[in-house]
Amino acid sequence: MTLAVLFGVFTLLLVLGVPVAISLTAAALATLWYLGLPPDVLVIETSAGSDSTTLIAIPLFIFAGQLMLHGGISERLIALASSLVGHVRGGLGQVNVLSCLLFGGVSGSAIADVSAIGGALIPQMVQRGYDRDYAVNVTIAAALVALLVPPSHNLILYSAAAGGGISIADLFAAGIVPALLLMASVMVTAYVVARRRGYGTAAFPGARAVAVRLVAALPGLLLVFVIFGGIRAGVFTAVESAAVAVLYALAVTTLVYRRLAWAEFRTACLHAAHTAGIILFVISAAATFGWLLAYLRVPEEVVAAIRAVAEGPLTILMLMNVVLLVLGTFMDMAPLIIICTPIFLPVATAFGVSPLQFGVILILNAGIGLITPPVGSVLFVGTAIGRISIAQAMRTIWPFYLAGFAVLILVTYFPALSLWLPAAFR
Amino acid sequence: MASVPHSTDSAPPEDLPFPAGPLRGLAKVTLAIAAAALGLLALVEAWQVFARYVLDAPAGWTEPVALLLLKITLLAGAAVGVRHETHFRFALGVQAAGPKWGRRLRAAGLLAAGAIGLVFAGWGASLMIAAWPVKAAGAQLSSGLYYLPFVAGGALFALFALERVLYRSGD
Repeated sequence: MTLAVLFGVFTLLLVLGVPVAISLTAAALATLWYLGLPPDVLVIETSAGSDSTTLIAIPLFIFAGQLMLHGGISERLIALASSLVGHVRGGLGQVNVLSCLLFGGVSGSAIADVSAIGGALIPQMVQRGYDRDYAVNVTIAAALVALLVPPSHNLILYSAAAGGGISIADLFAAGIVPALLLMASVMVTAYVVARRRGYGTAAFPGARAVAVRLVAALPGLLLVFVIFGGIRAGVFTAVESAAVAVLYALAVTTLVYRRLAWAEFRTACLHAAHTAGIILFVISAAATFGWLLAYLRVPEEVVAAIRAVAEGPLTILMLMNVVLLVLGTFMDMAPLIIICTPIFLPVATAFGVSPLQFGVILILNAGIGLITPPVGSVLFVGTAIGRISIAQAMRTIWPFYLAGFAVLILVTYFPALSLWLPAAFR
Repeated sequence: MASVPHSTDSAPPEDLPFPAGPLRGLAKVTLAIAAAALGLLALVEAWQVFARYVLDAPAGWTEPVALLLLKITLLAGAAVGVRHETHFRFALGVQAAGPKWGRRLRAAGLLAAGAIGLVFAGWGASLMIAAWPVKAAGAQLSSGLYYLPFVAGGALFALFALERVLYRSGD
């Protein structure tokens, strides 16, 4: 009955359109009352939910990403990508994918990727004769790469949702090979679709042009090495690396690129604070809900129930993939990570799955949800930039879904893809 | 088609428009406080690195201060999210309900946010008073201060939610 109160109130409020964080808090409050526990547990646990120092990295990486977004780095990364792969058939599609990887490496955000890269490249692609649906679908599929590469704040969110015991440096390393696989998979798909549609090629600008553009993009690109190298070398913690990323982004965008004037700085600060507040509130609000799940021994019950119907980690992971994909189409990324991690991670680890591999699988599933209706924020931004309806995008997106699913299956069946690099770095 | 006004991974609209209403100025100040706390958070964490490597004197006060700044960013940013109605939500139900019931459901969601805000403010205040004499580890800060963002933020949740309900019904 207690579980019915917890999940019943939560589901009811969610369906009625009450914000996820408020639904979590209200369901927890109702359950505390039902159990006769003091209601101030709600404030104590919600406050404790924001007491983890790991969480500090999330707003700081969001802040650094906003500074990069408003500070003119995307143009330089696009120029570099264009000189590297622009001459391949359907070249702007390839430029788009590579630019998303490069920008993802400095922003760690799929929405920032689709806003910055899509905002610049989708109109160019349309102007040069590419179909709008192709331009949008390539961009939104490629933007998902940002979720898996450092400094992805969603990987940090997963670490926090898992109780903070999973090394962020290991998670960053675990996402790199799957991210490169996803990039390659989207590039091949973009190439095949471009051939079928008869898109043209452009001339290779020459090694000198590549070198010049590389030098121009280098200060921004170095950020990923500062973050990843700094953490790996033990120079600073993940949280400190996020602060260094903010100062580095500020220095590059103001002193080197000279694009971040006061107005852009102010906008970046306000957007970052707003976004950070909303994401942190879901995390914090989920704390009492998570505390009640543990108090009611829900993860143990779920493990026992799944043990009764399935055997072997691969069956479990495939089952979880199906559930997460379905949930991902309806829920946004942060709530999905926050709500599903405490329930599914104990199940995965009980079957011998590494928390690193599960984290990558969770992020990939939730990422595919970001480009799938009815709730897909990356899809919404991409179609808004490309000025097409969601139905238009959906009609021709299926090769890109296949590319994403192929990577998801590979990562699920081959743990080494996400575990090899963290082990190699240790 | 359902939509979420905000995303995990997200950047709010380019100009971050503040909806019109009597508390627009208060919302702007609240977001400015959240942004200032975020900026200070970056500086505090950077100082931690500087103190360790350059001054060779690790600063013990940085962690408790950083956690306080985190809570300020959280509650102030989230309070503005209540007014902007940009919190993650599952919008299908509201959209399927049609304009009239959709408006009512949206108002109910705002009132729920306001009610939770009052819970934060009320119980947060009693916890703050109880914890005030206790010093936080590592800094000359009262532990009660950690509940202050919940008191102020909770009150702002309630004010902003009420404003949106009344202002909308007056549209």
